[in-house]
Amino acid sequence: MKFGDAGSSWSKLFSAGDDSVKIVPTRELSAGDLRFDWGTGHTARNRSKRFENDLIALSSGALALVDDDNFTVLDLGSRDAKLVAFAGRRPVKLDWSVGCASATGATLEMLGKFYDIDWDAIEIEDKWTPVTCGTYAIERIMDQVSAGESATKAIGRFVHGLARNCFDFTGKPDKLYLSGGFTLNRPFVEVLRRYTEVALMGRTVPLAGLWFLARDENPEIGEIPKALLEKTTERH
Amino acid sequence: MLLNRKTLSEIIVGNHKVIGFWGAPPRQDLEKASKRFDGATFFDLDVFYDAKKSGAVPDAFCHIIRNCVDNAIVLGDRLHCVVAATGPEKCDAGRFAARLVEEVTGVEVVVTVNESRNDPDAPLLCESRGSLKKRIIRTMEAIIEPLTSDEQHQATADRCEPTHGFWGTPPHPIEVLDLFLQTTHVFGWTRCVEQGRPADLDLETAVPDGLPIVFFSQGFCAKSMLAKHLAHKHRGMYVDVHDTLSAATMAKIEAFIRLSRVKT
Repeated sequence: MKFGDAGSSWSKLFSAGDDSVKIVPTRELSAGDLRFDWGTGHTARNRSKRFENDLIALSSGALALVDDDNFTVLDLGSRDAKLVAFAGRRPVKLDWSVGCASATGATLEMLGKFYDIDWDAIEIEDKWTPVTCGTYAIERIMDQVSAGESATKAIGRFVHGLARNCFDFTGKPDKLYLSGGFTLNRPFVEVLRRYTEVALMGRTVPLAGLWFLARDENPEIGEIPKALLEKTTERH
Repeated sequence: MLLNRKTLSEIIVGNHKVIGFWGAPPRQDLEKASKRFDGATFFDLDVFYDAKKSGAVPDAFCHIIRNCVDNAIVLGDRLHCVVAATGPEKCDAGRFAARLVEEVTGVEVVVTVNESRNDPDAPLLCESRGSLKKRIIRTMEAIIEPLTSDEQHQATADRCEPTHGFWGTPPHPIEVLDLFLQTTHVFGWTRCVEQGRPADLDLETAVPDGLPIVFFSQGFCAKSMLAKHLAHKHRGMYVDVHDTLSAATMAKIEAFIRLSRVKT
């Protein structure tokens, strides 16, 4: 049974029996005829026998992996931000910033390549760049660099602004479960922790969600494989 | 009284003028208009018929009010008159739209206020099992063509325990309603209309505790204030839609329905 979370930039693939989750650039899927039994994500709809929307896959995974009654999960990836909040394990907030996509991962990846950034060298100051749109952020960063600022500092301010925006978007919870590619971005996680307690869930929560949804229909597929849990239970 | 279910263009090229209306005007005002114009049929101007944008209403405005104005302008002299709901049963924009339509089209606008203080009727379609879209459309049609006794018996027989609720006015786009299960009960203004009390704020804000409810508001509608407040109070989901139903909004509603289903 094949599971796929095919996002705009990266696709996470898992087949029952695999030892690990494969992460490949989504553009590599475009030409191929890879099909999923269960799929989610922007580019999975037409290649999935069963498609679940991103919020359902994320929520299903989060509910299965988090024991708290009340909790908030933010999935931040290359294109957009998704938010699910539960009270008494019932959804009370579901949100998905599809319209303004550029404030998330794709912008940072592009900036990182453009300025040849070592992410471990990014400096996070108390100042932040207060923009919600990545296009404006790029303009601001280029202005700052042209004025003699270092790219690492200018990007650090953008990352700080992004973390603040995320904190606002999530409703300023005391604890935030973070899912998606940004769990791997040290400066982002570090600065988000200035605002709230952050529990990292890795990049496979939606895939885990698909597994649990499949298991609801067919219990014979068994317990969730370790490969889908290893990253999801990571704590820092 | 009969409802006209033709399209705008069919009415424009046809031989018969219609009586336009919006909201839920008092029955006696509708009957008066019907009598004055020899039983002419009624045309619901609230509904989206893909009328050409007149530009008379700003873009950032309630789409339902825009439908009312643009439909009336496109129909022009094909209208005998417009029976307009302009009181608390509609909204201030209904009152303003009445003035605007009269000035732009020159068509007579009968300004009505529906205080509706009778005992509430039974919420038959609002609590029966079946397509939410069909039930809400039929509720609005019943302003002109009340349910037949067969329909009333059927709706009573089909009454179901709710798994979810929908609160609000009939939405634009109406396809929002296709996302809901057949076991969705209807609350808010739509329920007020079925119960014959479209201006009853207490009834409009009454929802059962514990039922997962989507509180829908048309973009730029003053009822968004109520929808947001009630969603917070009852742990429901607040949804605001303007022109189109985005993938994100669809996903939110689908996810809420899937994840919060009450087992019956």
